[in-house]
Amino acid sequence: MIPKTIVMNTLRKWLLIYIAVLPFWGGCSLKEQLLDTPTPSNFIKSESEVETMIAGAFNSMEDPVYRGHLYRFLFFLPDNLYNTQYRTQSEKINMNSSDASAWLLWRNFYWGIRDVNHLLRDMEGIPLSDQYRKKALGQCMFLRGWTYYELVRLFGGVPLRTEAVDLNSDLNVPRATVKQVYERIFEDLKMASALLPLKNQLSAKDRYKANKGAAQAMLASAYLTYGVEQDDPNALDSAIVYADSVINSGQYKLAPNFADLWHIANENSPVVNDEVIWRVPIIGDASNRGTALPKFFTPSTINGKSYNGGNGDFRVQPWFYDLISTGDYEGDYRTEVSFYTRWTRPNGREAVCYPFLPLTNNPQNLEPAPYVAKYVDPNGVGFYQHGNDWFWIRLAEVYLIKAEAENELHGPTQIAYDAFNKLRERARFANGTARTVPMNLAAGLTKEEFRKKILDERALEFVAEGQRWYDLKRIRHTDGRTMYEYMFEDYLPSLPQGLPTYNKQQNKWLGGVTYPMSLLMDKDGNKLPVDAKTYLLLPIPFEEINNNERIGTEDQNPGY
Amino acid sequence: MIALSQNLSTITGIVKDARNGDPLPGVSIMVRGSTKGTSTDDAGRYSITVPGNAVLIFQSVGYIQKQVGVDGRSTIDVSLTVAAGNLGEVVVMGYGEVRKSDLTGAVGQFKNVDVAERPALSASQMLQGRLAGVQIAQNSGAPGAASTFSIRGASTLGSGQPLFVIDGFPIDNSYVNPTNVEQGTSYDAAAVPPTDVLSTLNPNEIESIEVLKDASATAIYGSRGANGVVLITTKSGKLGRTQVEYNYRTDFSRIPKQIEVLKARDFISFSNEGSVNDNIDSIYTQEEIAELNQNDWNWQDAIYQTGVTLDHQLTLSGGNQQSKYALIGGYTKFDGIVKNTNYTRGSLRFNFSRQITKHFDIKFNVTGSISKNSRLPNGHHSSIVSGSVVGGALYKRPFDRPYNDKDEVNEALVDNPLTIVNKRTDLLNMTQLLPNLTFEYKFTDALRVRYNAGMNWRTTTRDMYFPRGTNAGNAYGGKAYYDYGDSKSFLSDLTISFKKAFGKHEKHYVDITAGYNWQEWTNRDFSIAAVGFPNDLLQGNNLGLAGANLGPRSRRNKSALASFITRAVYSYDNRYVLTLTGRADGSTRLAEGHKWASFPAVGAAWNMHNEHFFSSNDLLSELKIRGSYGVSGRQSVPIGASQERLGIGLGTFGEEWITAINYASISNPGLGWESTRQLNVGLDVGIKSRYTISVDMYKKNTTNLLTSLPIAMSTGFESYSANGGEIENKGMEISATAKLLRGRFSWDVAGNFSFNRNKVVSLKGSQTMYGQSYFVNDEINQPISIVTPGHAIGEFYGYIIDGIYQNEEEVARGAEPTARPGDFRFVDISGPDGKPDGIINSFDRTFIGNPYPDYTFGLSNNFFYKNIGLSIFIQGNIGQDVANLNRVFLDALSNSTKANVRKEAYDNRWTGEGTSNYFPRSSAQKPLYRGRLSNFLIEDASFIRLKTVILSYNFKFKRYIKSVKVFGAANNLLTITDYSGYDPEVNIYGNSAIDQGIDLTTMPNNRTFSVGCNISF
Repeated sequence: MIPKTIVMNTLRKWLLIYIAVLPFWGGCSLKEQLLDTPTPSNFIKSESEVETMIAGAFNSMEDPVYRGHLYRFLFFLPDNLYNTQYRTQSEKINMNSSDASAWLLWRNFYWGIRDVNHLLRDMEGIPLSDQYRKKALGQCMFLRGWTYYELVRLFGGVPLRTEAVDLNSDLNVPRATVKQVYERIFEDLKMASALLPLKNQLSAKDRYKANKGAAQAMLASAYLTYGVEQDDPNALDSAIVYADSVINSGQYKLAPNFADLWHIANENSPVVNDEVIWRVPIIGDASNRGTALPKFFTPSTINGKSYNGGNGDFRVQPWFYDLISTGDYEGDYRTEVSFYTRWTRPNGREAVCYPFLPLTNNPQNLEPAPYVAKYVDPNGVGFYQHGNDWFWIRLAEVYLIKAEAENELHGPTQIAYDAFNKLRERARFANGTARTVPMNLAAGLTKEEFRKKILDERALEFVAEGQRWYDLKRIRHTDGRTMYEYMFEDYLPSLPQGLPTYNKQQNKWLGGVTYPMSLLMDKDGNKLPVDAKTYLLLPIPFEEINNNERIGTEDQNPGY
Repeated sequence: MIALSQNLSTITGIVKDARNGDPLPGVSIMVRGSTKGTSTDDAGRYSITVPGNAVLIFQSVGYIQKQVGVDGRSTIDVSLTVAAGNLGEVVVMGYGEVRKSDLTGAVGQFKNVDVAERPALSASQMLQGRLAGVQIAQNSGAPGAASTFSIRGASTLGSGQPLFVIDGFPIDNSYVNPTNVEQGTSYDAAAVPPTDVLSTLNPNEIESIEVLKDASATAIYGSRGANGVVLITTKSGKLGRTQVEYNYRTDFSRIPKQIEVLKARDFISFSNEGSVNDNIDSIYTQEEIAELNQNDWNWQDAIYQTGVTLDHQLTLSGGNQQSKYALIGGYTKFDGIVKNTNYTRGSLRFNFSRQITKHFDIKFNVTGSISKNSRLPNGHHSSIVSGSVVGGALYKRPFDRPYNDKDEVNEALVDNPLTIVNKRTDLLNMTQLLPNLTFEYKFTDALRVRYNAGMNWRTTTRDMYFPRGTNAGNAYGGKAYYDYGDSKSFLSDLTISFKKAFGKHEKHYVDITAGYNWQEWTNRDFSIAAVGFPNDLLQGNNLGLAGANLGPRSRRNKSALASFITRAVYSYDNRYVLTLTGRADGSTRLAEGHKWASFPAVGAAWNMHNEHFFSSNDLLSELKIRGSYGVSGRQSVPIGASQERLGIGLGTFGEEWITAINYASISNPGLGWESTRQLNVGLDVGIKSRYTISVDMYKKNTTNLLTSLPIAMSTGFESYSANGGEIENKGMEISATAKLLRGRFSWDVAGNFSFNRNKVVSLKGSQTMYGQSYFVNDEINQPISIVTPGHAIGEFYGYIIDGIYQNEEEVARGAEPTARPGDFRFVDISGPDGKPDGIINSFDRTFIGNPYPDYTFGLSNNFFYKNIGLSIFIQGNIGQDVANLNRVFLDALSNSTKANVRKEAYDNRWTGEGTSNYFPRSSAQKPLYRGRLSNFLIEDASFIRLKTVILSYNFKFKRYIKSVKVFGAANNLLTITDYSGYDPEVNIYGNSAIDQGIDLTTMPNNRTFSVGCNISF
């Protein structure tokens, strides 16, 4: 028998210990609480959260793709611009599978696809009005179709993902064929077109969200690209159908004055809203999440187009300026609007660019190449502080899509001419004082000639809008090569190389008209072991090849 | 009263260990029948004033108590005998102590003596090179920069930092560099190396450090033990009257050497030559050359300085049998070798213990510190020049002007190092408070219950400002960044211990510890970046001046760990020892169903010298064989890693920013802990108690590696948290001590030697992981560190250059038709089919170096002659490679119009056939090395250095002042190395397991001379 006092003492001691421990014992649950991080299951409950998720999906693609990384290729790869920072073409596109911009595009586009696929999963189980669900689904489909369209044009056949990924999914998906990717694009965009409201039915708040017209215009563009590249008449038919749907929807019209499209002050004006069917909205503020376009293009000696002058990094190839300022385009209003060729510098001197000649004997600054004058934001201070939206597709392009598809299918019919001449007509309207040029395209062209006219018309109409590389890749030369190959393999090497220099005695520009030297030549004019074909597609990023068991180095795009 | 009337006399003496005559520090000396007492100092000496008839009681843990009558003597030297059943020293282990003889694991011990004389800013620096198998890299010479610990090699792909335990309170020695919002474009965000939490601890507060290395020792820390555990014991009060000690030290720090770059004349020739070589006209005309030559700046002189450090330490301690206390205050101000970099720390510790009743003790330790760290950016992987102050000083052209015509800093020169030094700020303030309270109840001598509650509270603020004249400052019109972080950790430990010898002759001995503990962490953090300031006057002090902000961000999280622990030691007759250790850890961070895991270990030891057949042997004082096997873990899973999380950002559908949410992560419901199995075999030998040698061999396999597993980007995710793969470390450690001379002149030697072989056995998923990419903005954009099975973690991987193309004919035969004579000759190693294909591309990369040393050693010599002490410490790392990424600019002789180069490279450059087969021709082209990282950058950074030399003289006094010790010391006095950069000990990305051994415009380690004194009252 243990004495009672010992029992009591022992109990007392343990009680003391218990009291000491008690305050800490309380919170002993090992359940994880995430205090600052939402999860899909606890966050996505209703319409308002779905809205933020759609904004997230859109943001994945937009930022920073359309603010900068896409430019690198869309301005570097084609033949019409050059960059003053680089001495040779091969230097400026010294691309390999470790290319940071290619990696970023790939990653961000797949982020967008991921966000859409996951959101489709999470929207299923939550209560939403039928009307809203339709709208949200339409947005998702639009974003996914758009993303795959960008991917297929940049990289060719890419892995197709249409469902949310978790650890039970197959994490390794091989490259699909180009055809499979386009089928997905058509399906997604058609569904978007069916679900989304017309642009005019959107509230002011939703003004820049996907709508039926945007889906149809994108379908027209995708069908045209696919139809031309794959020689598929059905696709070309569809391109015309969707182009007509947009044209006849009554939602869009061409801005009467071409110049009104490019100043940031007009960005939300009815004039711009009526012509621009789909755009990537950009906000320029001190947070450096805007675009650098005005900075890239504007000469450093012009103030007010960008806050304190541009950087003039991208310049217009002299031969290209010749192309879009002579022949059909002599006196074209668009040429005047789209380029800086002559201005007064802050120091009072006049600057004159090729091919213009100095007018007086006053000291003038002569520059061997014009600058691009589209994109004006006087408030953009730092590089990425300009707010100019990226116009993804304008009604003008829809007309040319229709003309091109018609020409490919049936040759230059009246339908093709009519669509084409819409742009000439608008150009003649100029700033309200109508001109006689550019004249309507005269009948009697062959299919090949008409095709070349389309390429040239697009070259001027859409200069610096990121279209040229895609156009050169799509449109064929008479010998069956892409125009891209033709230009770099035959045409550019045939031109006098180098930049023009002004000769005072002869009062003439002499020397070359293409700079830097052709893509395929080094600075000494020696042929480089690079193939123009390589630059028809970007390299699949090394990280994808390294981490995707079903994409090996043998699946890399040719040339990388 | 009677005692007072008696004659008092002062007794002095020395207390030694009866076995070997070693002085015994910390022996308490009491006067029988009174509360008066004192204790011995580090040299075993004591001094006490007592009545002539007093009896002194000498006692120390593990020794038999001895009572000695004074009998009028003034000198009493005493030898204490080790207590029966008690083999002397105890070793601090987790959750208690064990007798050293019962130790079955591998534990390194460091007694912190003479700390005030060593210019060590932190415990890490103090420990450097001192313990076998504990490799500590001082990542950079920037004040306050973190050190990287590696105990027995890198065993994880995550943070390899060990767990630090201060007086029983586990702290996470995480790297601190709060960044919660975007700091700028990658081009601007030159890296400021992080600091570590350990830097907040004043090293003078430390009494001793135990490093637990093998599983038998670390298993008690379970899921946090795999990288080793560093137990820090702080100073406590000792019996006797109040002792006051004041230490003062001042250091003078300098850069170890300057890297000789070109002066204006040579640079101009280089620029012109590079341009002409590339068929471009010469850049500079004769007139310009004459003008440029007027300016010839040594940019390194412009940023470097002699940094002066002041260190004040005041220690008060004392105690009687009931209460003991120690009060330690410290103030350190360390000026770096780069202007305007400094580190200031003020700290205060109060350790108090009191015996409340015979059975009940309490102990209260509290320490607080405030530190302020002013930092400047080192290099950044995206671009070598991006605002790095060291990079700027190396690469700025000699005729670039630091000052404008008005003698102001020339802000027009982008990233002018002087703009950075004078106006770019990056202040990190940390406040740390760590109170820890322990109750102990002794039921009997054998059975004790201990309860420990504590808190670790840390706040950090980071203020950054990018003025105009820096890239970010120009782009945004001034940019400020502010971050406030607050983290708290609470601990509640309950342990029961039972220690008893029993049986006939008490031959059986058990020592059992069991307990439950709970630790939880709450962290919060708020930050904002503001841009567009009207001017730089107030820098970021008033964010209201900013034109816009990049959005405030905040974080808040919580996690907890619950654990059951146990350790049982059984020893028979001090001959055979068996230790069983186990811990079960449950964590909030892991997925349901995987939260709990157990970490068991077993250890055994045989004290052969206690065997009867050895009893007559005088030679061997110790002969012990140890062995252990067990499992410990690593739990650094990010919070929420097992769940599918959403990421928050800003987006737009038009004219204003709106919240945009993304799917940020993939959930891994099977996420578990990384576990490390370790086998250790050790041998301890003591010869005549004068020489000791310990040898440990180990093999450590880490499986279920916690990784951020890369997956195909086409999934929409780049990686997810997963377990998988295996890393092996095996190696050997030898430590030895010798008391070579004893007597008037004494000489002690301690040395350690260790080697470790690290190998990745397997990886989950793809078979390679890469470190970060370098020179994103300089057209290279490549990683140089790789993780792949069969090789060490983070081996260097790149192209091989085997010389310089001497003529066109060689070019024609080579793999690169576009090369020119004088260019680097890259080797065609392989191709898509596994054989050379005549093209240099990514197939031609191979393993070109290993950042880990083949072996490391440390050797310390301590000499004493009368009052003179001399201590010499030599440290060596042999066989380590460093990727000297500074050479990308300094030695490649490219980019000749933009950046300066090293003189040696220029003087030995290729200028025609046969002139050089190592350094290339000058070139004006920017794409350096044709966009390839190569073996040209990898250097053997083996070094042997005279790490510390201390010479001291001790003056003794009779009245008021006990002693004054004056000393002079030198740190990093001499370094023998072939490394061409500033200093071979460099590791700018110390916090990345993969990117080790990278020198990227890193502030070099300092050479320091110190003088100071220690005064005891």
